[in-house]
Formats: sequence, structure tokens, C-alpha cells
Amino acid sequence: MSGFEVSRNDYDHISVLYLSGFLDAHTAPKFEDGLQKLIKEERVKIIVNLKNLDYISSAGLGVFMGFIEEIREKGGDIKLSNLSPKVFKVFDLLGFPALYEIYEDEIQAKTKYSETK
Amino acid sequence: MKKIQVPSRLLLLISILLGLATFFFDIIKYESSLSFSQWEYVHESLTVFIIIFFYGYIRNKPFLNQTDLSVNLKNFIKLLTILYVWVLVFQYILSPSYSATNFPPLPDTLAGLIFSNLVSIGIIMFLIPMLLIVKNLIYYKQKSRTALYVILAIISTLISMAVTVIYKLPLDIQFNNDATYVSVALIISLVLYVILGTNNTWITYLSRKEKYSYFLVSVVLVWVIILLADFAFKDAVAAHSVSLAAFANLSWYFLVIYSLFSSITFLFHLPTARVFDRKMKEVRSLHQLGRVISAEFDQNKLVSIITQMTREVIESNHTWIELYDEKQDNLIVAAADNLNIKELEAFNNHTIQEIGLRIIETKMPITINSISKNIEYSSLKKWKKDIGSLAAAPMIDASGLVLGIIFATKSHEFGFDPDDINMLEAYANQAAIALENAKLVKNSLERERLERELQIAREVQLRLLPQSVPETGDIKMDTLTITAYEVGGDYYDFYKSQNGDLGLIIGDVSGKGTSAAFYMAETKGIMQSITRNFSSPFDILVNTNRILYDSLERKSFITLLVAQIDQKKHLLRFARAGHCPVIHYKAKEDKACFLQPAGIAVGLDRGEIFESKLIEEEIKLAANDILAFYTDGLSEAMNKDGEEFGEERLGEILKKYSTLEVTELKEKVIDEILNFLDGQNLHDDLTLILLKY
Repeated sequence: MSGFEVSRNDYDHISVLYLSGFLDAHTAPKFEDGLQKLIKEERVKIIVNLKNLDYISSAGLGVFMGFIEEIREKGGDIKLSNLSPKVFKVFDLLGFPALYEIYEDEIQAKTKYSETK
Repeated sequence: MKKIQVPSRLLLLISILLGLATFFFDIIKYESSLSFSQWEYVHESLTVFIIIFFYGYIRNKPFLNQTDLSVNLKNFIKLLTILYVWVLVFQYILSPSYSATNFPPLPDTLAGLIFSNLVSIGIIMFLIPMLLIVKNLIYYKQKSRTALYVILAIISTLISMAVTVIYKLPLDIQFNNDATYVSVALIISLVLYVILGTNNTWITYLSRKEKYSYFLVSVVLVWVIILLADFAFKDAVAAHSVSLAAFANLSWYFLVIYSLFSSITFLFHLPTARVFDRKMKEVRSLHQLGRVISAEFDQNKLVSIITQMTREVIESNHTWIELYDEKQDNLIVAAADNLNIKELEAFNNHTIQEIGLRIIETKMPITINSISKNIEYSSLKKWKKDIGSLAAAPMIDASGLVLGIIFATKSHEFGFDPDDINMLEAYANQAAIALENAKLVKNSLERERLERELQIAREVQLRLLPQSVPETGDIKMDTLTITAYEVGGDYYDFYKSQNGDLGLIIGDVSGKGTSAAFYMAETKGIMQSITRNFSSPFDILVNTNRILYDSLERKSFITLLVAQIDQKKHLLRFARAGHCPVIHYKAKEDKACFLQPAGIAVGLDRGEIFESKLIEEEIKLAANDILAFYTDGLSEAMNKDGEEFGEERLGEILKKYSTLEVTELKEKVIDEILNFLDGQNLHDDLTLILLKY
């Protein structure tokens, strides 16, 4: 199995996490760490860019669920962007679009944050 | 060879009786002044037998078979003292005198005769054990020829005794006529005694303190032994028995030579005693360390044991171990001796970290001989005034990685000599092996525990699935479950709806292992009761979500699909909570449809959104239509190129083999999946329910 990487970019009050590779039960802790760190730093306006994500398992999806409540309580959100058709299919199957804002690209997500600021 | 066991008490009794016999012989000889020239020889041989029998009696006594050096040496000194006291007391009481004009000398008085007998007894009683003790010392480190020399020395002693008796000459080195024989025998004996005298390697193994004290003792001892002959043996023994006198004389020679040689050896060993002591301590402590760490697998205990033992051996003032933490990429104090860990952590400043980093980089030990002379380390001096010098060695594992570092300090400058550094390195190496072992043991225990857990989870899961497919009139059904190595949370069940329809549930709990198996069990329980109380798939799912949402961990969720088949109206009614679509093969149109009405997975939302999104769908069924319900383990089954099996492929298989019965159709699906996987393992459980109308 190929690996999984999380990288991060901070823009003003928004933080973007870039996920790449395979997100499953084994690699999920890496993503969890990334989100944990952001919450600690009180940077809760988060965009997760999934442009290079090849695969996401149910455990990977669980990470989003595990943090969203706390983040929203703090006045933040997780917005998703750049989903490949394959990854979108998984999100869609589970009904995630009803729970998360999903955007074509990062800019749209950022604009959304700026509007509601 | 059969050994004749003679009771030792019998031997003692015989010795005493023979002793009495010789004593009476002496008295008769003295009183009657007769000459029994032939009887002399009987007397002498009786004496030799007394020696032999007494030896036989005493040799197995425990106090003569000690392996401990100091015990042997102390016993020797005790025996020598007793012998002195014995002789001195009787000399004082009897004040004997002898006419020494002839050889053997003759007692002037009866008291002299008694005294000569008593001294003879003393020699037999105390000298023989003394010789046995020296034998123990010689045999302490036996070499291949030691036994040979001992036997030769005994033989030559016996010969010397014999020639003394035969020629009636004192043991002396003279070269005229008969005396030559005596002299030759004596010289040979002396040479052998000298050879045995060099067998004193036992001295090496004494501690430094013992070497010093025994050296002083040995100097005194040499003098005492030399004096012994003059004042005790001179005439008294010879007056009783020439052979015993010869024996005493030769033994005396031997003891003088052996004690002299030992004393000299002691002297030579004194300068190296400290170093030798140190080396012995090192070997012992390494041995002990090896033993301790091979039985201890707890990392925390290990590091504290190693720290303590390091301190004991290199006599350091402060000692501590820092372990390298991969996650944090730095060194963390794991154990400290004569130092507070918290204090050390609080101080652990740039300087110590710098030293640590340098060691990790070079993988070599570091010694700082003078802390105060290096401005670089001034902060250390400020922190603890009693740090004069510091040494540190890396603990390197088999693959060459630095696991941690042992630090040691001494209060004076130049406190660490090369030996200390070698020792520190040796300890570090041992410690590395121990730590690595501990890690391996821990990992394998952990793995074992996980595997057991997995096994339980798998058993629970399999027991929760229906053991048979219900009888359903015209509907033919078959199911397929393949479990992956890691237990997934696949779940399916059948029920009878309130209006008598065939009900079917398929689901997948997110995550794997024990927690997935537990959630699955919970889901089954909840659904069993809910299907009795609610009639539509929509209601069943909404209520299931409401109950499960509260008990699920936030990052877990369950995809569920509930379907009911109304055989009277030929209808399929189903709702999908985030689960995989249903494949409907329509026989009439020879077409596979993917039914995916909206709906989010159970556990993602408390209820409002869930309810608003969920849609129940109704589908008309016709004869020979096929329905396939499955979990993502099937659609996401992956071959080695990373390609997924996909639901389209399943749809095509249904179409291709639509005329087959469900059981045969299932076989075809299995074949196709195995073909596709081509030896790859499934990474998730796979469930498939096939239903033919």
C-alpha cells in the first residue's frame, strides 16, 4: 500500500490540510494529529484539500466525524475541496454532502469562509 | 576397582594403639638399656604406619576440604599456633634434655622420653593437616603436571625417610660414603618442593585488602616456621623415631620453601593488586549485569538497574540514562542515580543536549576531563558544584542506531581513566542489547494480545450472522461471507415484517477489530426489536439511528440498508442509510440497474438531517429478476495494481449468468472475485446476498 501524507498551509485565519495517498485505519492517526494540532492552536477554520487523496476508508471518514462537533462548537468548520470523482463517490454514498460543505476547489472554500466571517 | 572403605574411627584407633606400642617400646628401651637392633626397624615402620593411618583418618575432615582461600589460610595459622603452644607447654612442664653425641640422640631423662613422644604426636596431629591445607592451595589452580609433582614429592620424601632410617644419618647435605645417598634424596626432594612452591597462583585471586594483610602475615609466618625446627624438632623427635624426624624435617623444608615463595609472590602482587581487583570487579559486575538483564524485560526497571550498576563499577558520582525518543526526536531522561530525575529534566540544558547530539552523530563515547577549565561547560559547574569530570557513552543497537546514552560524572577532575571509559562502553553495549530485547518481547506480547482479540472478535461476528437462509416460497436466496485477516464489521440479517413480508438487513460498521464486532452486536440487538415495532424500512432506519447515535463513538458510524419484499404486490421497498447501492437485474430488459436513493449513514447525525435526507424507494419486481445486496468489501476488493473490483463488474456478472440459479450464480461471483484478486488478500470483509425472484 502506498503511504499517506498530511501537509498544511496557513492563510490568514484559514488553515488548509492537504491529504495525499491512502487514508485508512492505519494512516488515520496521522490525519487526527493534524486536526488535533489545529484545534490546539485555535485555528478552527479548516479546509481539507483532497486533491491527491487516492483512497479513503470508513476509518478515514470517521476522523472527520470525530472532530467536527468540537470544531463547530468553537465557531469553526471543516470544508472539503478538490475531491476526485472516486473519493466523492465514497463521501456521497455515506451522505456526507448533507453534513459537510464540499467545494470544487480551495478558492471557493476560502471565499465561503470570508463571506461568513 | 573396588575401594576398601575403612571406618575412619578404626584408623584413629589403630594409630593410637600403634602410638602406644612405640611409646612402650621407648620406655622398655630406656629402662633396660638393651639394644634391639632389629626392633628399631619395626619401630620405624610402625611410625610410618601411624603417619599413614592418621592421614587416612584426617583427610576427609570437612575443615581440610575448604575451597575458600582465606578459610584455608586461617586454618593453617591456627594449626601452627596450636603446634607451638603444644610444644611450648610440654617443654615448660617437662624441661627435657638429650645427649646429642650420637645419632639418633637419646633422652637423658624419662621426662625427655615422654616429651619426645608428645612432640611426635603433635607433629602427626598438626603437621599432617597443615600439609593437607597447603595441598588445597596448590590444587586451587591445578595445572596438568601439578598432580605428578605432588606424587613425585611424596615418593621422594618417603625415600628420604627410608635412607635416613637405614643409614642412621641426619638429613644433611654431606658427600662422604653413606651420607651421599641421604644427600641425593634430600636434594631431589628439595627440588620438587621448590617446584611445588611456585604453585601459588591462588594469591592472584585474593582481594587487594587480603593481599596486603596476608603479605604481612606471611613474613611473620616464614620466621615462625623457620624457628619451629630449631626449638621443637631438633632432638626430641629423632629421639623417638628417626623416620618421623625425617618426615618432620622434610615437611619443615617444604613449609619453609612454600611460605617463602608465597611471601615473595605476595610482594610482587602488591603493586598490581588494585588493578587486578578492579578487573575482577568489572568481570563480576558484567557477569551480574548479563544475568540481571536477561531476566528483566521491563524497560523502566532495566534502565534503573543499569544506572545503579554503572555507578557501582565506575564509582561515579552522578549517573543517568537518557533514551532517544523517535517521535519527539530528542533525548529523554529515563533513570538517574544520586540525582533527582525532575531536577535533571528541569536543568537538561543546551550543554547536555549538545553532548548528547554529538554522541548520536559520532556514535563514540565522550570524556570531559575538566569541567571547570572548559568555558563551554560552565553552566554544568554552576548547576552542580560537584561535577569535576563527565563521561558519556552511546547505547547502540544491532542495526547501529543510538537507543540512548549513559552519562556519568565524578567530583574530581580527570576522574575517568581509560578503564572507566571502556567499562562505560561495555555497559552501554550490554544495556543496548537488553533494551532491544525488552522492546522485542513487548512487541511480541502486544502482537499476541491483538491476535487473541482479533480471534474473539471474529468469533463473535460469525456467531451473529444468520446460520441459515429463511424459506421464502418463490424467492431463492443465497449468501456469501468472506472474512479478511482484520475483522471488519459486516453484518446482515433476515426478519419477518409486521405484514408478513420478507425483511432483509445488510450493514457495515466503520472501523475494524473488537470495537466493530461489539457495535455490530449492538446493532443486531437494536434492529431485532425495532423491526418488530415498525413496519417500513424508513421508520426502522430512523429509529435505529436515533438509538445508535447516542451509543456510538463519534468517529464511528454504520451503513445500513433495510429492504422488504412484498410477494403479493411484487414490490421491493427499501431505504439506504449510506450503504452500497442495490443492484437490480431486470430480466425482461436484460439490464442491471443501480439503485441508490439518498440517505446518510447511521451515527453521523442525531436525527433531523438523517430523517430529512432518507428516502424510501419502491421497485416493481418481475419473475427472474435478480437483486444483489453487498458491502463495500466487495466493490472495493483490490487487485495488486490498485484497481477496485467495482459494482459495475458485479452488475455485468449478474447479467452474464442471469439464467443460473442463485447458488451457481454465487459460485460464478466467487470465481470472478478470486480471478480478479489473483492472489491478493482482501483488506476488508466481504458480504453478498443474492436473491432471485
